[in-house]
Amino acid sequence: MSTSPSRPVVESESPAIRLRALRKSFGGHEVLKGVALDIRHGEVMSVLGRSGGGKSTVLRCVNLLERPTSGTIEIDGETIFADGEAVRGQKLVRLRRRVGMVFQNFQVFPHLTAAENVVLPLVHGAEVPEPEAVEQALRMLHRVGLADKALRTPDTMSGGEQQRVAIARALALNPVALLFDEPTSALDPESTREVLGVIKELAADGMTMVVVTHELGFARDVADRVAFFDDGVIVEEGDAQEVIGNPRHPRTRAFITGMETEPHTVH
Amino acid sequence: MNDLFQGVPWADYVPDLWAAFLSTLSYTVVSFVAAAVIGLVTALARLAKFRPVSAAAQIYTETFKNLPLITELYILYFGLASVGVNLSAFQAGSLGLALFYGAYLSEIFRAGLRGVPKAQREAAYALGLSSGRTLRHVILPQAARIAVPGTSTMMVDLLKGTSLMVAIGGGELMTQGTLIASDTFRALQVYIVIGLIYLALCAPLSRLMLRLERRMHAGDALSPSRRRVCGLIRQVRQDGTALYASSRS
Repeated sequence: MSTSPSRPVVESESPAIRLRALRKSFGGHEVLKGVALDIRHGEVMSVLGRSGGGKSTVLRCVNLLERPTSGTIEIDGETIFADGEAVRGQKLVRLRRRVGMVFQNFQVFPHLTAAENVVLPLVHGAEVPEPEAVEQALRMLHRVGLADKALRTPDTMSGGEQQRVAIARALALNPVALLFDEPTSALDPESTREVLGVIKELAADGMTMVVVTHELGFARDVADRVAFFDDGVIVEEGDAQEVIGNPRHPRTRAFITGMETEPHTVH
Repeated sequence: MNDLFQGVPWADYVPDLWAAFLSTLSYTVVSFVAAAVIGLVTALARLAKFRPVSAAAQIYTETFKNLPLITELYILYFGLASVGVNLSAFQAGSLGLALFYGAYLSEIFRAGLRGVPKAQREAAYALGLSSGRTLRHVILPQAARIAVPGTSTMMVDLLKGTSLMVAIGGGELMTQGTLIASDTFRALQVYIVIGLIYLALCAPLSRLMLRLERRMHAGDALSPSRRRVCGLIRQVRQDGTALYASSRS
Protein backbone atom coordinates (compact mmCIF):
# COMPACT_ATOMS: atom_id res chain seq x y z
CA MET A 1 0.00 0.00 0.00
CA SER A 2 1.33 3.40 -0.92
CA THR A 3 -0.79 5.32 1.56
CA SER A 4 0.72 6.95 4.62
CA PRO A 5 1.55 4.37 7.27
CA SER A 6 -0.01 6.44 10.04
CA ARG A 7 -3.49 5.90 8.64
CA PRO A 8 -4.78 2.35 8.48
CA VAL A 9 -7.03 2.83 5.46
CA VAL A 10 -9.00 -0.38 5.68
CA GLU A 11 -9.80 0.06 9.36
CA SER A 12 -11.03 3.63 9.06
CA GLU A 13 -13.60 3.20 6.31
CA SER A 14 -16.88 1.44 6.88
CA PRO A 15 -16.98 -2.20 5.80
CA ALA A 16 -18.52 -3.10 2.45
CA ILE A 17 -21.14 -5.14 4.26
CA ARG A 18 -22.00 -5.04 7.95
CA LEU A 19 -24.59 -7.35 9.50
CA ARG A 20 -25.66 -7.14 13.12
CA ALA A 21 -28.04 -9.40 15.05
CA LEU A 22 -29.68 -10.44 11.82
CA ARG A 23 -32.71 -12.67 12.22
CA LYS A 24 -35.06 -14.15 9.67
CA SER A 25 -38.06 -16.39 10.14
CA PHE A 26 -40.18 -18.08 7.52
CA GLY A 27 -43.54 -18.62 9.12
CA GLY A 28 -42.69 -19.99 12.56
CA HIS A 29 -39.34 -21.38 11.44
CA GLU A 30 -36.31 -19.28 12.34
CA VAL A 31 -33.59 -19.65 9.70
CA LEU A 32 -31.23 -16.92 10.92
CA LYS A 33 -30.82 -16.63 14.66
CA GLY A 34 -28.71 -13.53 15.11
CA VAL A 35 -25.91 -13.19 12.57
CA ALA A 36 -23.12 -10.61 12.90
CA LEU A 37 -20.63 -10.29 10.09
CA ASP A 38 -18.33 -7.66 8.59
CA ILE A 39 -16.97 -7.90 5.09
CA ARG A 40 -14.24 -5.37 4.46
CA HIS A 41 -13.56 -3.76 1.11
CA GLY A 42 -11.42 -5.98 -1.08
CA GLU A 43 -12.03 -9.01 1.05
CA VAL A 44 -13.19 -12.41 -0.17
CA MET A 45 -15.30 -14.27 2.33
CA SER A 46 -16.36 -17.84 1.84
CA VAL A 47 -19.51 -19.02 3.55
CA LEU A 48 -19.58 -22.71 4.37
CA GLY A 49 -22.01 -25.03 6.07
CA ARG A 50 -24.66 -27.67 5.65
CA SER A 51 -27.67 -27.06 3.46
CA GLY A 52 -30.42 -25.36 5.44
CA GLY A 53 -27.92 -23.68 7.73
CA GLY A 54 -28.94 -20.20 6.56
CA LYS A 55 -26.11 -19.45 4.12
CA SER A 56 -28.28 -18.52 1.14
CA THR A 57 -30.76 -16.66 3.31
CA VAL A 58 -28.00 -14.37 4.60
CA LEU A 59 -26.96 -13.55 1.06
CA ARG A 60 -30.53 -12.90 -0.01
CA CYS A 61 -31.02 -10.57 2.96
CA VAL A 62 -28.01 -8.47 2.00
CA ASN A 63 -29.70 -7.17 -1.17
CA LEU A 64 -33.15 -7.42 0.40
CA LEU A 65 -34.47 -10.12 -1.91
CA GLU A 66 -35.45 -11.51 1.46
CA ARG A 67 -36.67 -9.17 4.15
CA PRO A 68 -35.05 -9.86 7.52
CA THR A 69 -37.20 -10.13 10.63
CA SER A 70 -34.87 -7.97 12.72
CA GLY A 71 -31.30 -6.74 12.99
CA THR A 72 -29.36 -4.23 10.91
CA ILE A 73 -27.69 -4.27 7.51
CA GLU A 74 -25.26 -1.61 6.30
CA ILE A 75 -23.82 -1.44 2.81
CA ASP A 76 -20.71 0.71 2.52
CA GLY A 77 -21.76 2.71 5.58
CA GLU A 78 -25.36 3.19 4.49
CA THR A 79 -28.03 1.59 6.64
CA ILE A 80 -30.46 -0.26 4.43
CA PHE A 81 -32.27 -2.23 7.09
CA ALA A 82 -32.81 -1.39 10.76
CA ASP A 83 -35.61 -1.61 13.32
CA GLY A 84 -37.63 -3.80 10.99
CA GLU A 85 -37.65 -1.08 8.30
CA ALA A 86 -36.02 -1.62 4.91
CA VAL A 87 -35.19 1.00 2.28
CA ARG A 88 -37.86 1.20 -0.40
CA GLY A 89 -38.55 2.49 -3.89
CA GLN A 90 -35.65 4.23 -5.65
CA LYS A 91 -33.34 3.66 -2.68
CA LEU A 92 -33.95 -0.08 -2.82
CA VAL A 93 -33.33 -0.21 -6.55
CA ARG A 94 -30.11 1.79 -6.13
CA LEU A 95 -28.97 -0.49 -3.31
CA ARG A 96 -29.42 -3.57 -5.47
CA ARG A 97 -27.33 -1.98 -8.18
CA ARG A 98 -24.51 -1.63 -5.66
CA VAL A 99 -24.63 -5.27 -4.55
CA GLY A 100 -24.25 -7.73 -7.40
CA MET A 101 -25.61 -11.25 -7.08
CA VAL A 102 -24.81 -14.46 -8.92
CA PHE A 103 -27.26 -17.34 -8.57
CA GLN A 104 -26.85 -21.08 -8.51
CA ASN A 105 -28.92 -21.49 -11.67
CA PHE A 106 -27.37 -18.49 -13.47
CA GLN A 107 -30.68 -16.81 -14.26
CA VAL A 108 -29.39 -15.28 -17.44
CA PHE A 109 -32.25 -13.89 -19.51
CA PRO A 110 -32.93 -16.58 -22.15
CA HIS A 111 -34.60 -14.23 -24.64
CA LEU A 112 -31.51 -12.05 -25.00
CA THR A 113 -27.98 -12.53 -26.32
CA ALA A 114 -25.05 -12.64 -23.89
CA ALA A 115 -24.14 -9.00 -24.52
CA GLU A 116 -27.75 -7.82 -24.23
CA ASN A 117 -27.96 -9.59 -20.87
CA VAL A 118 -25.21 -7.27 -19.66
CA VAL A 119 -26.60 -4.20 -21.44
CA LEU A 120 -30.15 -4.50 -20.07
CA PRO A 121 -29.51 -3.54 -16.41
CA LEU A 122 -27.08 -0.83 -17.50
CA VAL A 123 -29.56 0.86 -19.84
CA HIS A 124 -32.87 0.21 -18.12
CA GLY A 125 -31.66 0.24 -14.52
CA ALA A 126 -28.60 2.45 -14.25
CA GLU A 127 -29.71 4.71 -17.15
CA VAL A 128 -26.34 4.41 -18.93
CA PRO A 129 -26.58 5.58 -22.57
CA GLU A 130 -26.72 2.66 -25.01
CA PRO A 131 -23.35 3.12 -26.74
CA GLU A 132 -21.51 3.26 -23.43
CA ALA A 133 -23.50 0.34 -22.07
CA VAL A 134 -22.56 -1.75 -25.10
CA GLU A 135 -18.88 -0.92 -24.68
CA GLN A 136 -19.06 -1.74 -20.98
CA ALA A 137 -20.86 -5.02 -21.74
CA LEU A 138 -18.23 -6.13 -24.23
CA ARG A 139 -15.46 -5.19 -21.81
CA MET A 140 -17.09 -7.30 -19.11
CA LEU A 141 -17.65 -10.26 -21.44
CA HIS A 142 -14.00 -10.01 -22.42
CA ARG A 143 -13.05 -10.04 -18.78
CA VAL A 144 -14.83 -13.34 -18.22
CA GLY A 145 -13.41 -14.77 -21.44
CA LEU A 146 -16.57 -14.58 -23.55
CA ALA A 147 -15.84 -11.73 -25.96
CA ASP A 148 -16.42 -14.05 -28.93
CA LYS A 149 -19.84 -15.17 -27.66
CA ALA A 150 -21.38 -11.70 -27.32
CA LEU A 151 -24.18 -12.39 -29.79
CA ARG A 152 -24.95 -15.95 -28.72
CA THR A 153 -28.16 -16.75 -26.89
CA PRO A 154 -27.99 -18.66 -23.57
CA ASP A 155 -29.51 -21.86 -25.00
CA THR A 156 -26.43 -22.26 -27.20
CA MET A 157 -24.00 -21.83 -24.31
CA SER A 158 -22.70 -24.26 -21.67
CA GLY A 159 -23.62 -23.84 -18.02
CA GLY A 160 -20.19 -22.45 -17.27
CA GLU A 161 -20.53 -19.89 -20.04
CA GLN A 162 -23.98 -18.88 -18.86
CA GLN A 163 -22.67 -18.43 -15.33
CA ARG A 164 -19.83 -16.28 -16.65
CA VAL A 165 -22.38 -14.12 -18.49
CA ALA A 166 -24.19 -13.76 -15.17
CA ILE A 167 -20.94 -12.68 -13.52
CA ALA A 168 -20.22 -10.17 -16.29
CA ARG A 169 -23.75 -8.82 -15.95
CA ALA A 170 -23.38 -8.25 -12.19
CA LEU A 171 -19.87 -6.88 -12.57
CA ALA A 172 -20.88 -4.33 -15.20
CA LEU A 173 -22.77 -2.27 -12.64
CA ASN A 174 -19.53 -1.66 -10.69
CA PRO A 175 -20.93 -3.04 -7.45
CA VAL A 176 -19.45 -2.49 -3.99
CA ALA A 177 -19.57 -6.25 -3.50
CA LEU A 178 -20.54 -9.38 -5.38
CA LEU A 179 -22.57 -12.12 -3.72
CA PHE A 180 -22.28 -15.65 -5.08
CA ASP A 181 -24.94 -18.16 -4.06
CA GLU A 182 -23.43 -21.58 -4.75
CA PRO A 183 -22.22 -20.46 -8.18
CA THR A 184 -20.88 -23.87 -9.21
CA SER A 185 -23.41 -26.25 -7.66
CA ALA A 186 -25.24 -26.72 -10.95
CA LEU A 187 -22.11 -27.16 -13.03
CA ASP A 188 -20.00 -30.04 -14.31
CA PRO A 189 -16.33 -30.18 -13.18
CA GLU A 190 -14.97 -28.40 -16.24
CA SER A 191 -17.48 -25.55 -16.03
CA THR A 192 -16.81 -25.38 -12.29
CA ARG A 193 -13.11 -24.81 -13.01
CA GLU A 194 -13.93 -22.07 -15.54
CA VAL A 195 -16.20 -20.22 -13.15
CA LEU A 196 -13.91 -20.58 -10.12
CA GLY A 197 -11.08 -19.35 -12.35
CA VAL A 198 -13.02 -16.17 -13.11
CA ILE A 199 -13.84 -15.62 -9.43
CA LYS A 200 -10.16 -16.12 -8.58
CA GLU A 201 -9.17 -13.44 -11.11
CA LEU A 202 -11.73 -11.06 -9.63
CA ALA A 203 -10.24 -11.75 -6.20
CA ALA A 204 -6.80 -10.90 -7.52
CA ASP A 205 -8.24 -7.63 -8.89
CA GLY A 206 -9.43 -6.76 -5.37
CA MET A 207 -13.16 -7.35 -5.84
CA THR A 208 -15.11 -7.65 -2.61
CA MET A 209 -16.94 -10.97 -2.67
CA VAL A 210 -19.03 -13.25 -0.50
CA VAL A 211 -19.10 -16.77 -1.87
CA VAL A 212 -21.44 -19.45 -0.57
CA THR A 213 -19.79 -22.65 -1.73
CA HIS A 214 -19.17 -26.31 -1.08
CA GLU A 215 -15.78 -26.14 -2.77
CA LEU A 216 -13.42 -26.43 0.19
CA GLY A 217 -10.27 -26.22 -1.91
CA PHE A 218 -11.48 -23.01 -3.50
CA ALA A 219 -12.41 -21.53 -0.13
CA ARG A 220 -8.97 -22.36 1.27
CA ASP A 221 -7.03 -21.03 -1.71
CA VAL A 222 -9.01 -17.97 -2.71
CA ALA A 223 -10.95 -16.71 0.30
CA ASP A 224 -9.35 -14.48 2.91
CA ARG A 225 -11.80 -15.55 5.56
CA VAL A 226 -14.47 -18.15 5.98
CA ALA A 227 -17.62 -18.12 8.05
CA PHE A 228 -19.08 -21.47 8.96
CA PHE A 229 -22.86 -21.47 9.31
CA ASP A 230 -24.85 -24.02 11.21
CA ASP A 231 -28.45 -23.89 12.34
CA GLY A 232 -28.82 -20.16 11.69
CA VAL A 233 -25.71 -18.91 13.44
CA ILE A 234 -22.03 -18.51 12.60
CA VAL A 235 -20.31 -21.17 14.68
CA GLU A 236 -16.80 -20.37 13.52
CA GLU A 237 -15.24 -17.53 11.60
CA GLY A 238 -11.69 -16.62 10.78
CA ASP A 239 -8.73 -16.91 8.44
CA ALA A 240 -9.63 -19.31 5.62
CA GLN A 241 -6.59 -21.56 5.84
CA GLU A 242 -6.78 -21.70 9.60
CA VAL A 243 -10.47 -22.58 9.87
CA ILE A 244 -10.33 -25.17 7.11
CA GLY A 245 -6.93 -26.57 8.09
CA ASN A 246 -7.54 -26.56 11.82
CA PRO A 247 -11.23 -26.19 12.66
CA ARG A 248 -11.90 -25.68 16.35
CA HIS A 249 -15.64 -26.00 16.70
CA PRO A 250 -16.83 -29.64 16.73
CA ARG A 251 -19.49 -28.98 14.09
CA THR A 252 -17.00 -27.28 11.76
CA ARG A 253 -14.63 -30.17 12.28
CA ALA A 254 -17.33 -32.74 11.52
CA PHE A 255 -18.38 -30.86 8.40
CA ILE A 256 -14.87 -30.43 7.04
CA THR A 257 -13.75 -34.01 7.69
CA GLY A 258 -17.02 -35.17 6.13
CA MET A 259 -16.35 -33.09 3.02
CA GLU A 260 -12.79 -34.34 2.69
CA THR A 261 -13.44 -38.05 3.16
CA GLU A 262 -16.64 -38.35 1.14
CA PRO A 263 -16.11 -38.40 -2.59
CA HIS A 264 -17.36 -34.98 -3.62
CA THR A 265 -20.32 -35.38 -5.86
CA VAL A 266 -21.35 -32.60 -8.16
CA HIS A 267 -25.03 -32.70 -8.90
CA MET B 1 -69.02 -29.64 -61.81
CA ASN B 2 -67.98 -27.77 -64.95
CA ASP B 3 -70.73 -25.21 -64.40
CA LEU B 4 -69.31 -24.28 -61.00
CA PHE B 5 -68.37 -20.88 -62.27
CA GLN B 6 -71.30 -20.51 -64.62
CA GLY B 7 -74.48 -18.78 -63.70
CA VAL B 8 -72.77 -16.39 -61.31
CA PRO B 9 -71.65 -13.14 -62.96
CA TRP B 10 -68.55 -12.93 -60.76
CA ALA B 11 -67.19 -9.89 -62.53
CA ASP B 12 -70.23 -7.90 -61.38
CA TYR B 13 -69.59 -8.85 -57.80
CA VAL B 14 -65.90 -7.99 -57.63
CA PRO B 15 -66.43 -4.52 -56.12
CA ASP B 16 -68.83 -5.91 -53.50
CA LEU B 17 -66.52 -8.80 -52.67
CA TRP B 18 -63.58 -6.42 -52.38
CA ALA B 19 -65.50 -4.22 -49.96
CA ALA B 20 -66.52 -7.31 -47.98
CA PHE B 21 -62.95 -8.55 -47.95
CA LEU B 22 -61.75 -5.21 -46.52
CA SER B 23 -64.56 -5.33 -44.01
CA THR B 24 -63.45 -8.79 -42.83
CA LEU B 25 -59.92 -7.44 -42.41
CA SER B 26 -61.21 -4.43 -40.47
CA TYR B 27 -63.18 -6.60 -38.06
CA THR B 28 -60.14 -8.82 -37.62
CA VAL B 29 -57.57 -6.10 -37.01
CA VAL B 30 -59.72 -3.88 -34.80
CA SER B 31 -61.07 -6.69 -32.65
CA PHE B 32 -57.78 -8.56 -32.39
CA VAL B 33 -55.88 -5.48 -31.22
CA ALA B 34 -58.62 -4.72 -28.72
CA ALA B 35 -58.76 -8.37 -27.59
CA ALA B 36 -54.98 -8.42 -27.09
CA VAL B 37 -55.10 -5.29 -24.93
CA ILE B 38 -58.06 -6.64 -22.93
CA GLY B 39 -56.31 -10.01 -22.65
CA LEU B 40 -53.05 -8.53 -21.37
CA VAL B 41 -54.70 -6.23 -18.85
CA THR B 42 -56.92 -9.07 -17.65
CA ALA B 43 -54.00 -11.51 -17.39
CA LEU B 44 -52.00 -9.01 -15.30
CA ALA B 45 -55.07 -8.31 -13.20
CA ARG B 46 -55.60 -12.05 -12.60
CA LEU B 47 -52.09 -12.23 -11.15
CA ALA B 48 -52.55 -9.13 -8.98
CA LYS B 49 -52.20 -9.66 -5.24
CA PHE B 50 -55.13 -7.32 -4.51
CA ARG B 51 -58.04 -9.73 -4.33
CA PRO B 52 -60.89 -7.56 -5.75
CA VAL B 53 -58.83 -6.89 -8.90
CA SER B 54 -58.03 -10.54 -9.58
CA ALA B 55 -61.62 -11.55 -8.75
CA ALA B 56 -63.06 -9.01 -11.21
CA ALA B 57 -60.71 -10.25 -13.91
CA GLN B 58 -61.71 -13.82 -13.23
CA ILE B 59 -65.43 -13.01 -13.43
CA TYR B 60 -64.89 -11.34 -16.80
CA THR B 61 -62.90 -14.27 -18.18
CA GLU B 62 -65.33 -16.91 -16.98
CA THR B 63 -68.35 -14.99 -18.25
CA PHE B 64 -67.14 -14.49 -21.79
CA LYS B 65 -65.48 -17.89 -22.08
CA ASN B 66 -68.77 -19.55 -21.27
CA LEU B 67 -71.13 -17.40 -23.33
CA PRO B 68 -71.72 -18.31 -27.00
CA LEU B 69 -70.35 -15.60 -29.28
CA ILE B 70 -73.56 -15.53 -31.27
CA THR B 71 -75.62 -14.89 -28.12
CA GLU B 72 -73.25 -12.12 -27.14
CA LEU B 73 -73.62 -10.55 -30.60
CA TYR B 74 -77.41 -10.65 -30.37
CA ILE B 75 -77.31 -8.99 -26.97
CA LEU B 76 -74.97 -6.24 -28.18
CA TYR B 77 -76.74 -5.58 -31.48
CA PHE B 78 -80.43 -6.41 -31.05
CA GLY B 79 -80.63 -6.43 -27.26
CA LEU B 80 -79.03 -3.04 -26.66
CA ALA B 81 -80.97 -1.51 -29.58
CA SER B 82 -84.21 -2.52 -27.88
CA VAL B 83 -83.32 -0.33 -24.90
CA GLY B 84 -82.20 2.56 -27.07
CA VAL B 85 -78.47 1.90 -27.31
CA ASN B 86 -77.90 1.71 -31.03
CA LEU B 87 -74.55 0.26 -32.02
CA SER B 88 -73.70 -0.16 -35.70
CA ALA B 89 -73.09 -3.72 -36.87
CA PHE B 90 -69.37 -2.95 -37.00
CA GLN B 91 -69.33 -1.51 -33.47
CA ALA B 92 -71.36 -4.32 -31.97
CA GLY B 93 -69.48 -6.98 -33.94
CA SER B 94 -65.99 -5.70 -33.09
CA LEU B 95 -66.91 -5.22 -29.45
CA GLY B 96 -68.36 -8.73 -29.28
CA LEU B 97 -65.30 -10.31 -30.88
CA ALA B 98 -62.93 -8.28 -28.68
CA LEU B 99 -64.70 -9.27 -25.45
CA PHE B 100 -64.98 -12.91 -26.49
CA TYR B 101 -61.41 -13.38 -27.72
CA GLY B 102 -60.04 -11.11 -24.98
CA ALA B 103 -61.24 -13.70 -22.47
CA TYR B 104 -59.44 -16.51 -24.28
CA LEU B 105 -56.29 -14.45 -24.84
CA SER B 106 -56.18 -13.53 -21.16
CA GLU B 107 -55.93 -17.24 -20.33
CA ILE B 108 -53.16 -17.75 -22.87
CA PHE B 109 -51.28 -14.66 -21.66
CA ARG B 110 -51.73 -15.69 -18.03
CA ALA B 111 -50.19 -19.07 -18.78
CA GLY B 112 -47.33 -17.23 -20.49
CA LEU B 113 -46.74 -14.95 -17.52
CA ARG B 114 -46.85 -17.85 -15.08
CA GLY B 115 -44.48 -19.81 -17.28
CA VAL B 116 -41.64 -17.36 -16.61
CA PRO B 117 -39.69 -18.69 -13.59
CA LYS B 118 -39.97 -16.57 -10.45
CA ALA B 119 -36.19 -16.58 -10.22
CA GLN B 120 -36.01 -14.51 -13.42
CA ARG B 121 -37.89 -11.72 -11.69
CA GLU B 122 -35.56 -11.99 -8.70
CA ALA B 123 -32.50 -11.85 -10.92
CA ALA B 124 -33.84 -8.67 -12.54
CA TYR B 125 -34.55 -7.10 -9.14
CA ALA B 126 -31.07 -8.10 -7.94
CA LEU B 127 -29.65 -6.19 -10.92
CA GLY B 128 -31.41 -3.02 -9.85
CA LEU B 129 -34.33 -3.03 -12.28
CA SER B 130 -37.58 -1.53 -11.01
CA SER B 131 -40.65 -3.74 -11.02
CA GLY B 132 -42.05 -1.91 -14.07
CA ARG B 133 -38.84 -2.33 -16.06
CA THR B 134 -38.63 -5.96 -14.96
CA LEU B 135 -42.11 -6.61 -16.30
CA ARG B 136 -41.44 -4.76 -19.54
CA HIS B 137 -37.96 -6.10 -20.35
CA VAL B 138 -37.70 -9.46 -18.60
CA ILE B 139 -41.12 -10.96 -17.91
CA LEU B 140 -43.27 -9.89 -20.88
CA PRO B 141 -40.79 -10.85 -23.64
CA GLN B 142 -40.42 -14.33 -22.16
CA ALA B 143 -44.16 -14.66 -21.57
CA ALA B 144 -44.71 -13.66 -25.20
CA ARG B 145 -42.51 -16.51 -26.38
CA ILE B 146 -44.64 -18.97 -24.43
CA ALA B 147 -47.91 -17.36 -25.55
CA VAL B 148 -47.23 -17.09 -29.29
CA PRO B 149 -48.56 -20.50 -30.41
CA GLY B 150 -51.85 -20.12 -28.53
CA THR B 151 -52.17 -16.51 -29.64
CA SER B 152 -51.70 -17.51 -33.30
CA THR B 153 -54.45 -20.09 -33.02
CA MET B 154 -56.78 -17.48 -31.54
CA MET B 155 -55.89 -14.94 -34.22
CA VAL B 156 -56.83 -17.32 -37.02
CA ASP B 157 -59.92 -18.40 -35.11
CA LEU B 158 -60.95 -14.75 -34.74
CA LEU B 159 -60.55 -14.15 -38.46
CA LYS B 160 -62.84 -17.08 -39.18
CA GLY B 161 -65.12 -15.93 -36.34
CA THR B 162 -65.84 -12.69 -38.21
CA SER B 163 -68.10 -14.83 -40.43
CA LEU B 164 -70.59 -14.91 -37.54
CA MET B 165 -71.29 -11.25 -38.36
CA VAL B 166 -73.65 -12.71 -40.96
CA ALA B 167 -76.14 -12.93 -38.08
CA ILE B 168 -76.20 -9.17 -37.67
CA GLY B 169 -75.64 -8.27 -41.34
CA GLY B 170 -72.09 -7.23 -40.71
CA GLY B 171 -71.16 -6.48 -44.34
CA GLU B 172 -68.14 -8.78 -44.33
CA LEU B 173 -67.40 -11.75 -46.61
CA MET B 174 -69.96 -14.18 -45.27
CA THR B 175 -72.73 -11.59 -45.29
CA GLN B 176 -71.78 -10.70 -48.86
CA GLY B 177 -71.84 -14.40 -49.71
CA THR B 178 -75.45 -14.75 -48.56
CA LEU B 179 -76.42 -11.74 -50.66
CA ILE B 180 -74.80 -13.14 -53.81
CA ALA B 181 -76.27 -16.59 -53.16
CA SER B 182 -79.80 -15.24 -52.83
CA ASP B 183 -79.28 -13.10 -55.94
CA THR B 184 -78.08 -15.99 -58.07
CA PHE B 185 -79.52 -19.14 -56.45
CA ARG B 186 -76.06 -20.71 -56.81
CA ALA B 187 -75.39 -21.42 -53.12
CA LEU B 188 -72.85 -24.17 -53.62
CA GLN B 189 -70.49 -22.27 -55.88
CA VAL B 190 -70.90 -18.99 -54.00
CA TYR B 191 -70.06 -20.49 -50.61
CA ILE B 192 -67.19 -22.50 -52.03
CA VAL B 193 -65.70 -19.29 -53.41
CA ILE B 194 -66.26 -17.53 -50.09
CA GLY B 195 -64.60 -20.49 -48.35
CA LEU B 196 -61.61 -20.26 -50.66
CA ILE B 197 -61.19 -16.59 -49.80
CA TYR B 198 -61.14 -17.42 -46.06
CA LEU B 199 -58.64 -20.18 -46.75
CA ALA B 200 -56.44 -17.83 -48.76
CA LEU B 201 -56.47 -15.41 -45.83
CA CYS B 202 -55.99 -17.85 -42.97
CA ALA B 203 -53.40 -20.24 -44.37
CA PRO B 204 -50.70 -17.58 -44.94
CA LEU B 205 -51.52 -15.99 -41.59
CA SER B 206 -50.92 -19.32 -39.87
CA ARG B 207 -47.64 -19.74 -41.72
CA LEU B 208 -46.56 -16.22 -40.84
CA MET B 209 -47.26 -16.76 -37.14
CA LEU B 210 -45.35 -20.03 -37.20
CA ARG B 211 -42.37 -18.21 -38.64
CA LEU B 212 -42.64 -15.53 -35.96
CA GLU B 213 -42.71 -18.27 -33.32
CA ARG B 214 -39.56 -19.89 -34.71
CA ARG B 215 -37.71 -16.59 -34.88
CA MET B 216 -38.69 -15.69 -31.33
CA HIS B 217 -37.45 -19.03 -30.05
CA ALA B 218 -34.18 -18.60 -31.91
CA GLY B 219 -33.77 -15.37 -29.92
CA ASP B 220 -33.70 -13.19 -33.06
CA ALA B 221 -33.82 -9.46 -32.41
CA LEU B 222 -37.27 -8.52 -33.75
CA SER B 223 -38.02 -5.26 -31.94
CA PRO B 224 -36.44 -2.01 -33.16
CA SER B 225 -34.75 -1.43 -29.81
CA ARG B 226 -33.12 -4.85 -29.78
CA ARG B 227 -32.03 -4.44 -33.39
CA ARG B 228 -30.42 -1.14 -32.47
CA VAL B 229 -28.55 -2.63 -29.52
CA CYS B 230 -27.40 -5.68 -31.50
CA GLY B 231 -26.24 -3.36 -34.28
CA LEU B 232 -24.22 -1.38 -31.76
CA ILE B 233 -22.72 -4.58 -30.39
CA ARG B 234 -21.60 -5.66 -33.87
CA GLN B 235 -20.20 -2.23 -34.58
CA VAL B 236 -18.24 -1.97 -31.33
CA ARG B 237 -16.91 -5.50 -31.78
CA GLN B 238 -15.70 -4.64 -35.26
CA ASP B 239 -13.81 -1.46 -34.55
CA GLY B 240 -13.34 -1.82 -30.82
CA THR B 241 -10.56 -4.31 -30.23
CA ALA B 242 -8.61 -1.52 -28.52
CA LEU B 243 -11.44 -1.56 -25.99
CA TYR B 244 -10.14 -4.74 -24.46
CA ALA B 245 -6.48 -3.85 -24.30
CA SER B 246 -6.56 -2.18 -20.91
CA SER B 247 -9.11 -4.34 -19.16
CA ARG B 248 -7.12 -7.51 -18.76
CA SER B 249 -3.62 -7.99 -17.41
